[in-house]
Amino acid sequence: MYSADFDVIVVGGGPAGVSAAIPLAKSGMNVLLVDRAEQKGTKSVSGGVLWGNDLEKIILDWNKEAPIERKIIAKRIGMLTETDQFTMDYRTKQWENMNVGYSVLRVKFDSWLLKKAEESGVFVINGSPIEKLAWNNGRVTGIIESGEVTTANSVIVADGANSRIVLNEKFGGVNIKGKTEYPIENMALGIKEVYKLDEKTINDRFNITYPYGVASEYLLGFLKNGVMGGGFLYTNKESISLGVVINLPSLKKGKLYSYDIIEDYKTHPFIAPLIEGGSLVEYSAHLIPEGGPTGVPKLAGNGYLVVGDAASLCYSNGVVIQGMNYAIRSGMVAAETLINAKKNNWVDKSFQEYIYRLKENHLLEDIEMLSHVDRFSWNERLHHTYPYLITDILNNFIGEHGNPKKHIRTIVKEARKKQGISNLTLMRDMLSWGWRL
Amino acid sequence: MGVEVVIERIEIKNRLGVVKYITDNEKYAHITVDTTICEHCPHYFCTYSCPAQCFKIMGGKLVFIYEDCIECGTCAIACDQGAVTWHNPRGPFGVIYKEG
Ligand SMILES: Cc1cc2nc3c(=O)[nH]c(=O)nc-3n(C[C@H](O)[C@H](O)[C@H](O)COP(=O)(O)OP(=O)(O)OC[C@H]3O[C@@H](n4cnc5c(N)ncnc54)[C@H](O)[C@@H]3O)c2cc1C
Ligand code: SF4
Ligand code: SF4
Repeated sequence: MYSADFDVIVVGGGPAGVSAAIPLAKSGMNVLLVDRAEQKGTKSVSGGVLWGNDLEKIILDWNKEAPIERKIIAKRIGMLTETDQFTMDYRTKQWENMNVGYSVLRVKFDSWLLKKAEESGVFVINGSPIEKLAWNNGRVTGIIESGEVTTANSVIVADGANSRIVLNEKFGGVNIKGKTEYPIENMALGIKEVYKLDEKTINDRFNITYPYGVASEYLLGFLKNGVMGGGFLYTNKESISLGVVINLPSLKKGKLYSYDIIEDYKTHPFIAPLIEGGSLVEYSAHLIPEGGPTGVPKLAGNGYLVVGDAASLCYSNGVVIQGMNYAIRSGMVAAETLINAKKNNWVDKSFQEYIYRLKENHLLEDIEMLSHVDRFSWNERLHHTYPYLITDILNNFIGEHGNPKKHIRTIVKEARKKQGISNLTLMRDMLSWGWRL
Repeated sequence: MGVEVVIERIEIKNRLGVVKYITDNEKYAHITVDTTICEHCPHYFCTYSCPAQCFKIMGGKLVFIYEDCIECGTCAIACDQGAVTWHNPRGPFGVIYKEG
């Protein structure tokens, strides 16, 4: 039996990689984590609301110590047309005492996570992009950087949505003109801007007090040429994160410029006032896996596991984006798998347990649900017809237009006809929407 | 630190102006584009999708500028003609975000 340099090498120090590395190191394993960013966290982009409290299982009292921006106590989901907005606002005192979600800025947050990893005994190397694994006899034996091999009994691939390892090792992707790449159907493009604003202005504008914050997500019904996209807006302590998530196949057909879409959203009459007076401090972009089960690569093989966005374990439907929580959970499941694999002397079949454990934890089930997303969320009607249908109905129902009052049924019927939606289609869409929520 | 007061649209050039980079020597550019393939491109989707306007048509030809790249990876999947070769920049190089 040869002796490897490490028990485990983790490639990528985002939420997925760190959530795998910490429990492994705590279990007494010899863990190396390599990340491409020279300064910790400086290549990371997210929205970002970290939903849930999964980190608690890895870092006790994480939310007392972590660089959190605000605790989310209100959520707004809505639709925007050129002139109208329709939103559902939910706000509860209960969330003040719960761990529903926290807005975070990833440079600070990831560098804190990596510091926690180091404190747990993980050996962290920065500034090293890894694009290939080392193999021997059909088994992964380590990583390759500039032709040099560092060996390990196992490797965790956690390099995010644009995983070059997954492509180079043909764990996923498709062959297009001689190159293995991700199909555009499996990825959305996220573009984000951060605006500095003082704490008090944010509190006043969103009717909250620090440390509480608001998360808003909108369907962008006003986008031209059939392009589909969602917009998000999250409050940080002293800034606002705002951005768009763009469906790529529709962008290709509609020929809009991606960098204009975020400006269309930002200057929307109902969004602009929220960031008025702020100054731009960052512009960033990143891919978001949203392919559902078809986007999931080979998750485990002899000597390796794939976690987080690299494994496409991200839930995004244009309005709701949840990736960090799934990244953390898949990282933890990978750690459990490898703790057991070590006990079994790293036998090949112990790596396959990862998939069973993911199922046990409902991770694959959630991603499975995404296969239904095409039916609705990235659905032409949802993005371009319903925002107009709903705002038209409300305008006629709530507004006083000096005309004789009509029954709500008539109003709906007229609006439906104007948008060319049959009763049956409306019913089907409502049913599948209900099912999604 | 910020560049402009909002409500106004900000030119992409000015938005990129707030981004910090350490640019590697052109010899080590992390993305290369075989522009001879672009001459026959049916869609030029890279020019629409790249959020940093690194792909532009100038004088009827595709021009690629690697220096402004914010490393999202979109061009590699937007191009289905095999023209784009994508790698991560070497160690210390490329975009350095402050917020994330
Ligand atoms: C605009 C936008 C908004 C989003 N909003 C939300 C949100 O509000 N809530 C939410 O839960 N999720 C959101 N997501 C998704 C979420 O950010 C991801 O699902 C999550 O970050 C995935 O974590 P990860 O650890 O798998 O990958 P990442 O966070 O991408 O981390 C990957 C790490 O690997 C490193 N790396 C990459 N390549 C290499 C390499 N070749 N070699 C070595 N290291 C490498 C990177 O430097 C990085 O540190 C959003 C995403 C985007 C783009
Ligand atoms: S999509 Fe590909 S082939 Fe077409 S112009 Fe862009 S880089 Fe060239
Ligand atoms: S990686 Fe993204 S920012 Fe860089 S050139 Fe490609 S599309 Fe543009």
